[in-house]
Amino acid sequence: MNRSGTIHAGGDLLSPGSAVRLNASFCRDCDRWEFPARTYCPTCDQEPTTGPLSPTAEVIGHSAVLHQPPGSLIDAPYPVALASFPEGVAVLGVVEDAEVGEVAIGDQVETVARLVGDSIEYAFRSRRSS
Amino acid sequence: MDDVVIAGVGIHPFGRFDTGYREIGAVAARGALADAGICLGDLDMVLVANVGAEMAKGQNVLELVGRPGVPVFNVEAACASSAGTLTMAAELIEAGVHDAILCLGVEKAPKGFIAGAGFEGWQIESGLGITPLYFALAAQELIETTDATIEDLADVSVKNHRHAVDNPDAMFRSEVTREQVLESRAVCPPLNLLMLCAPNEGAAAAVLVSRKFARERGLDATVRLRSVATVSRSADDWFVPAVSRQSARMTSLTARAATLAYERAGIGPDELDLVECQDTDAGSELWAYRDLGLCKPGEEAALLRSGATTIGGRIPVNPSGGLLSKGEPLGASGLGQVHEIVQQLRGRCGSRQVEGARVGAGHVLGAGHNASVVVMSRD
Repeated sequence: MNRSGTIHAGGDLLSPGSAVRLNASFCRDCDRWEFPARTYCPTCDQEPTTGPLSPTAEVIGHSAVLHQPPGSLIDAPYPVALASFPEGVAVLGVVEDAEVGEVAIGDQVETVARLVGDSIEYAFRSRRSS
Repeated sequence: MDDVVIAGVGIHPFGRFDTGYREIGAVAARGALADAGICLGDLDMVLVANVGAEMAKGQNVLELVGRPGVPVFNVEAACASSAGTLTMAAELIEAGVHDAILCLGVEKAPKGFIAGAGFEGWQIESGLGITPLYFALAAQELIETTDATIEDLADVSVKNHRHAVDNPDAMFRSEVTREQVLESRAVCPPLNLLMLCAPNEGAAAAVLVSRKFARERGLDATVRLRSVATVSRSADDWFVPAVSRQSARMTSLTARAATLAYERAGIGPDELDLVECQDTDAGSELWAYRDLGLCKPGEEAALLRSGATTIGGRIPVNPSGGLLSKGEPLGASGLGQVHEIVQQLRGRCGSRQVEGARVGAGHVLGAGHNASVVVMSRD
């Protein structure tokens, strides 16, 4: 179960490692996507529709978490990417199959399900290794 | 803004102390009142900025100072909390509603990463609830899109640490070398420990009064608050704790606050003699050069390398040592900047004095998407 609502159709059938798509909202009037999905469009305040983002995104920024942050259920060190989806929204995520220093601007990543505690959340996986 | 005088300022050093936030806050409050030459009973209102303490914190601090009987409100806007007090106090005085307001910022922040920065539970559990990540991505963007280098990031820290040597209220008062910064513990690449400010403890306060009140009471009206502009998130801003942003469009909270503040003051960035900016990390100071209009986009590193932002240069930035050297008591940092700017404009900063300073600006930027710019001048 994807308790955060970040995964499109994030029901009980999700399993860690499977490809998933992020759940976003889209305002037709503004031609604008928002992630996570919102109940209002931040540009026009109208009610958007919801739908999935594309399965892959391009890395436009990256860093890493080298020391265990309080509350994180992911073991540091781990790389993090800011990845831009074709819909025009850029999302932060842990790149679960890469080592620190291996992520580069221009890399393609896909969104996958990852077990975080007892919830299924999203992570990025480098397309080079898939 | 024409009618707001900063009649007095007070500070409790920034650092780590055995005393509680109430005692720390009381020191700054008493200091500002004494500096202004008024007593608690002269005030119309007290506004207290704090992020992490308990219920009724301002009231609890004042219990150690006196019982003015006037409204006491607690203001929280993350690292821009202090600016919230200034914004409300200045506007109430300018509007003629009140004549004398004490603004106090106080914090006793725990060590380490700032927790509770507005992240949702799933962000924290997924490993994304860590503020330096956001600053790291911004610093990386600067390196990718301008000629700024990691050495420039180190040199911001070197400059601010050098400034703090002469600031008795700063937490870190030793010079550091570029090599020491570059070899300090990596936190979130490209940022190392000595490129990031440390949350800590401290307090700062300012007494804002109307010109009429200052005249009638014979107070020091040398320094006036010329404008303050505070903004929150608009559609295309991105900061802590949002997990996403629009890929193409990104606007700057700081630039928007600065534009408003300069407009309201009728003072442009080229007229500033000094700036205290939110150097949460070294990259943030370089971004502030651009967003505050101190240089053109892409010329941030050149401005730093020219020495212009060092004391003795054309536009010294963070002559106090900045948050990189003072540390950041979240609720107090903005009023700490006001303390520094007022003392600079009065010519009381000794060996870190910016010679001939007549106009100064302060800038804070905080989680939840808050930014503020304040402009002060010496008459």
